[in-house]
Amino acid sequence: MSKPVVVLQDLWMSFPGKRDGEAIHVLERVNLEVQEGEFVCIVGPSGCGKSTLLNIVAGFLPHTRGHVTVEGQPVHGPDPRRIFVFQENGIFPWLTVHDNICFGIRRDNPRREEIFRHYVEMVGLKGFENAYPRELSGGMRQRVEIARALASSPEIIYMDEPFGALDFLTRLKMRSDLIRIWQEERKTILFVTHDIEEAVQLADRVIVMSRRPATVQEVIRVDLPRPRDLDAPEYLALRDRIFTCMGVSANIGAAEVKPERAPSGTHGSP
Amino acid sequence: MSGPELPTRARRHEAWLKVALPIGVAVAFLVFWDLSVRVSGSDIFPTPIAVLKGIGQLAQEGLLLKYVAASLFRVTMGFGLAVILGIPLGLLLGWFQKLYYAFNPMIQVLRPISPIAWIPVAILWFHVDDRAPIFLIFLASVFPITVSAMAAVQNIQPVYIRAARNFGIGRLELFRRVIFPATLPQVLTGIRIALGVAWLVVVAAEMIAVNSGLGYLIIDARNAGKRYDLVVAGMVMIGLIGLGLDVLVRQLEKFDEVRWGYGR
Repeated sequence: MSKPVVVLQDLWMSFPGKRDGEAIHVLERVNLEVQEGEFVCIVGPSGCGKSTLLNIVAGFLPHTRGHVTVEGQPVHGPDPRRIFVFQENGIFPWLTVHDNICFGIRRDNPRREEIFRHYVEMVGLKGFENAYPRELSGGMRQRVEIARALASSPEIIYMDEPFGALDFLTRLKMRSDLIRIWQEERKTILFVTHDIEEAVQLADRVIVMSRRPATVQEVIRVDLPRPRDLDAPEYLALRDRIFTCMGVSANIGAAEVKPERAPSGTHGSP
Repeated sequence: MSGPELPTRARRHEAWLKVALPIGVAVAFLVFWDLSVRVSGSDIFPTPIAVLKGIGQLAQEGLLLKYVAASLFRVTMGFGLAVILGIPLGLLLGWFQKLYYAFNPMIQVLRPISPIAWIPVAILWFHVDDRAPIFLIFLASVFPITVSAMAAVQNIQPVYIRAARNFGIGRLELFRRVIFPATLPQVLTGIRIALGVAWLVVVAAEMIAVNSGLGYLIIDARNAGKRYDLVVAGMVMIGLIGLGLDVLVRQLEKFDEVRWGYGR
């Protein structure tokens, strides 16, 4: 964890507005560095442009001003060395789990099947190799997409609210599995979410974005050992700091997440 | 009645209804038809039994098979041509925005013209041989196929294309591995609709342009001696074969590669 792999310098982004000459400013003066092997979460209010930011870094969207460099090269488009995991689930419904996961592995790779077996096991989908996506739950489909990303052996994985559409318990499970996988693989992960709890549970560093036009408001290092104790005072303090940062009082923030945390079983609310 | 038994029973009951109800309606219809003919005392309009005998007579004379084959041959040719041309055309127009701008208005003008309106033109160009009805069937089926393929490309979820591009696949690969399979369900629906229209049109075309086929049978039976038993026999055959063709194409929609596109 030493050299920065993703570097954003003075990044600006605006979309043309509905009327001529009226641009919508989405990102303003964004500066950010992500180190190799680091797990970075970007949080911010809904619609602040964090998804746009990730799409720019991944090369799916152009930017208006500034510099975006990944591994020392300016970004001009999507690249197979950096795989994007989509919120709306980008696995192909006409392919089986096997064919989806193998999509990004070259056909002439002699270790194709071996790689497939490794990752299908890692995401816990052994026995579902020949199933089609429509036969799987939302959580399982997202696992297929994560396995597909890993199987193509990228250096960086971009994740855009990948668990946003899942139910609460599945989301908890997916988070702990993602941490386990990341600890095995040590890929650089840039993860966008609107869920502050999620960010604090996952990240080495949490980047807090402001409202639109968004800029980096604060960077918070989460130096807690994994797996994280969600009741530890250090964890709660960091979480509340981010709530405060995003303009939500820590009390309201905590009250809002309480019912969500209850099913984890560790929280003794009266 | 115990708990787990109930759903099975309910399902069996429904399965039974699904068979019994249509048969009931068919029998009632035949009885009504038979009685109507008898009560009205018509000696031209046939009873169901007379139609059945008519079908038997056609089969004995070898005309039934010959006419069915002739009609199916024309549909196969015209419809096949429409599939071969319409699918690539539709996919191209759906993918390349400029081609779409250029050709879509033309297609939308030609599309609502009934193939029947083309009959005089078809006769002028192809005279009274097989090419005329084949041309008409082609016209009838090429538009639904092209338009459905075009719409299918335009409706592809952008996430599939982005995901595929992220893996660095080239244009041809993108087409083969993503665009084609992603559009297949909707293309297949277009094919089913087109086949239905093609079958409607072959009968109409055969009434005018040729001297074989089920359409010809109907018009010939009426003209040569008011044989309405054979007219209705032809109609019944058309209905049954049309149903058969639809059932056949529906089987294609059951494959796993396309089933995802029909909402389970």
